[in-house]
Amino acid sequence: MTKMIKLITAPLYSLVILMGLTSIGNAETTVSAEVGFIFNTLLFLICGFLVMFMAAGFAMLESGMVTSKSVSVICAKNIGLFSIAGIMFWLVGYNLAYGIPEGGYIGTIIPWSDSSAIETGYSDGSDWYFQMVFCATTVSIVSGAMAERIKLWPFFLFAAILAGILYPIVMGWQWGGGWLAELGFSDFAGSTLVHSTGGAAALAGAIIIGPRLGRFTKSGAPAPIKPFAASSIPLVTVGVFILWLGWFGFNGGSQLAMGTAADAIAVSTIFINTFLAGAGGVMAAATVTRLGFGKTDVVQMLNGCIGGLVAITAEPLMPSPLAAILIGGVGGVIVVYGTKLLFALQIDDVVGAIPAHLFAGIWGTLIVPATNPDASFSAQLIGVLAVNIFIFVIATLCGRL
Amino acid sequence: MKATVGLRLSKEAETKGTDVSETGVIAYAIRD
Repeated sequence: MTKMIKLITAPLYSLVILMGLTSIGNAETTVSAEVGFIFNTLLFLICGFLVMFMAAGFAMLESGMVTSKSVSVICAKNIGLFSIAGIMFWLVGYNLAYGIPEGGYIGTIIPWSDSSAIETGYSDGSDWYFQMVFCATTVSIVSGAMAERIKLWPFFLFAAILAGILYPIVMGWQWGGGWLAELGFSDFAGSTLVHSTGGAAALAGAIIIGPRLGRFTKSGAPAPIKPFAASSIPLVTVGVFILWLGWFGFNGGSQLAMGTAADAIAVSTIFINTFLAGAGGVMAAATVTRLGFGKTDVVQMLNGCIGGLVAITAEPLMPSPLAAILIGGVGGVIVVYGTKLLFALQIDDVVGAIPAHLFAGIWGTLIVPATNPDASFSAQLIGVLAVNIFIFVIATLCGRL
Repeated sequence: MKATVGLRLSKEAETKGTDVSETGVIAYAIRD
């Protein structure tokens, strides 16, 4: 009987293998350089589309968080900053980041040009596009913190400086092979390079410009909620869902390769951890606000999601699913208490960008060595301090002068 | 930027709202 089963199944089994319907053997198969080039390029383009969609998420989140008399200008800021970021990143940003000498501090000031070759593993244009949407995301983070009292055109001018000069410099320090990369700093998709950069610039801007009129009482407490009530919580919720979706492109695309089965598995793992960290952030914020302050604060849940996602961005590949939930969960708690801290300091961050992007970004970067044995705490600390101090100081000078 | 173009809206413009003072386009026709 056993022999008969073998006689029947063996040819079928061979046929299935020949037809490629099973994964047996596929994991060891390597594709040609050209096929790898195509898959890597596709990863950059598709993930770049997802990251670009995050701009819509930021626009919705910010539109919903401001009062109803300051919504259309948020839309103008978001479409404007995205366009400015793209032009500036083409004009000077890309080569300022990638034209950096090994272990260096600053790249070259020349516009991007296509130098695609099979040997690089992906098309140059797809890399430019993927990096450009990261740059635009950094600028998007700043937009909401100073909402309702900053003039539009000075903001556009700062967007050009941040996208064309400041972000590319810190990006080059790590992703361009500069001094932070040589030091051993680890920031997979940009908890520090993107999110803390945006958050530090937002902090500088919010301090320089001051709070909205009447936002804090003479005793320093936040004013009654109604005059500053968010115009649309549903819009904020849609924005956060869009951002959460876009984050799969943000973190998944940062694997930078899709030409092998190992890369495909890594991207899938990153997707799982990215999702779980966002979920951890939501539920941690919900729990903390309910137990600590008596109400389940939906705004903190939504920003907790962002905090969780920012926290996992520095290392979305190595953590176990449980670790991803914990890292994201702490990110959510940081958002809640970070918001309280800003209130105490009378810093008016309209959308909660500073706790979600700066504070959670610092946490996510510092916790990397807990799951990635190749990272060291000292290198992470130096990277966090260097990037945040550099951005905060230069952004402050830009605003004050 | 502060010395040249100025960063912050006037008190009057801020009170009216940035939709009126900056874009001239009102996002919501119905408000509280």
